[in-house]
Amino acid sequence: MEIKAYHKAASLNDAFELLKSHPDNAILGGGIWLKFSKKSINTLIDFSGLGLNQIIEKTDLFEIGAMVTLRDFEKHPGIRTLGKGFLSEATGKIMGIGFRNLATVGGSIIGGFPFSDFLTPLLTTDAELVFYPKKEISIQEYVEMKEKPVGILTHIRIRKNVNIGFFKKVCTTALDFAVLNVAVAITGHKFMIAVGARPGTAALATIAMNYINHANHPDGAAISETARIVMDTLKFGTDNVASEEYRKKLAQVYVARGLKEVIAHEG
Amino acid sequence: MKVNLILNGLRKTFEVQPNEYLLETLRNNHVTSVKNGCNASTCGSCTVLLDGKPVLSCSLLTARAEGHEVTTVEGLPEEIGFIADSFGAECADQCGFCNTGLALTVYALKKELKNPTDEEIKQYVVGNLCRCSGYQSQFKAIKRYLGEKR
Repeated sequence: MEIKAYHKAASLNDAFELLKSHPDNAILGGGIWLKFSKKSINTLIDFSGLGLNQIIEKTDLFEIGAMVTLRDFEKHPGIRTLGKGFLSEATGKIMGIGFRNLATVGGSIIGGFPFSDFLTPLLTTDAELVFYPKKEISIQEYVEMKEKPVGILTHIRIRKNVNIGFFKKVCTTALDFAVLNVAVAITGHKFMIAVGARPGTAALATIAMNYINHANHPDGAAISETARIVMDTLKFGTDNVASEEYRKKLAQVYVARGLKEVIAHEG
Repeated sequence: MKVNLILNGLRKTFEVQPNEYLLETLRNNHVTSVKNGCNASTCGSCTVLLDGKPVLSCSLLTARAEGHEVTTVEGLPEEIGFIADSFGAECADQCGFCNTGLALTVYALKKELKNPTDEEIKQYVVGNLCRCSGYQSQFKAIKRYLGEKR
């Protein structure tokens, strides 16, 4: 990985103007996976000095600065209560402490890493991404966009309407990338289901969500059918970690388990 | 480019490349207690404290550390000595390659968590791999260190 110059931004405008000025300029998040990039970066823009490492709790949402580390996110007392703690617990399973003290919330979203254990549960919330200059996009919309917006992610707003959530990372050891990860939540009185590491980037199972959200009673039969729809409608694939068939089966089992758990513990 | 760090309590200036990671900077400047294990953000051997928090020096651009406090085992001789004694008492040492990174993580654990449960201890040190010991003796050593009153 080549970096020709390093610039510490004095303001968001300074960072944005520099970003626009050359196609090979880039914003620095946590910088962890940067070393594996084959890209040549003209100027790497560091905006870590702009106070975007705070979590602010408001009446109906949390406003999280893009430079908040995964460790600070996981430990935040308010985040620990959100969805009965499932976002905090999911984040706490990402690699070790030394990793999470560097990796940032913003970098984990913009990186769009297929193996991300942060993006999958976040998709089941009503999170909104705030960019500079002024642009706000829902996390679901952002993940589906082919052409990502030109701008700097400054904040993530997560509404407090996540009643409960479930997250499962399937892996052999604690430091492995997920073979598959599954998040199920009840957000704004609706079931939300996301599956990541398929091995593609996390996606919402919208057809299955539509089915369970319109079921008269989310009983055992409806749960089984929802899990089957997830298996049949999301795109799964084969890589050197697991086969498509195995991933489909895992998704079916853990979506059903997740639905049962959130229904049982919604309270 | 020049980067200023407070390394083990002393102000230091390093001449680095923009794509240089802290592990490389430290080792190139004779701080070889910081080990290069996987160089891929996984093993924890390169752990240092950045403003008191454990971080992987193989994954932190040196330029990002500008103005921050970096602590290695050389910066905490007394406390690291207590940790080493606990490891010795529990026969938790073999090749020793992972020890310095693990010791710094254990030191941070003690600072951050009061009366941690066994599960919290295991979760805290999960990112520090050891290929010799099998972890049981290390776990006992960590509990011994945390339990000692000084």
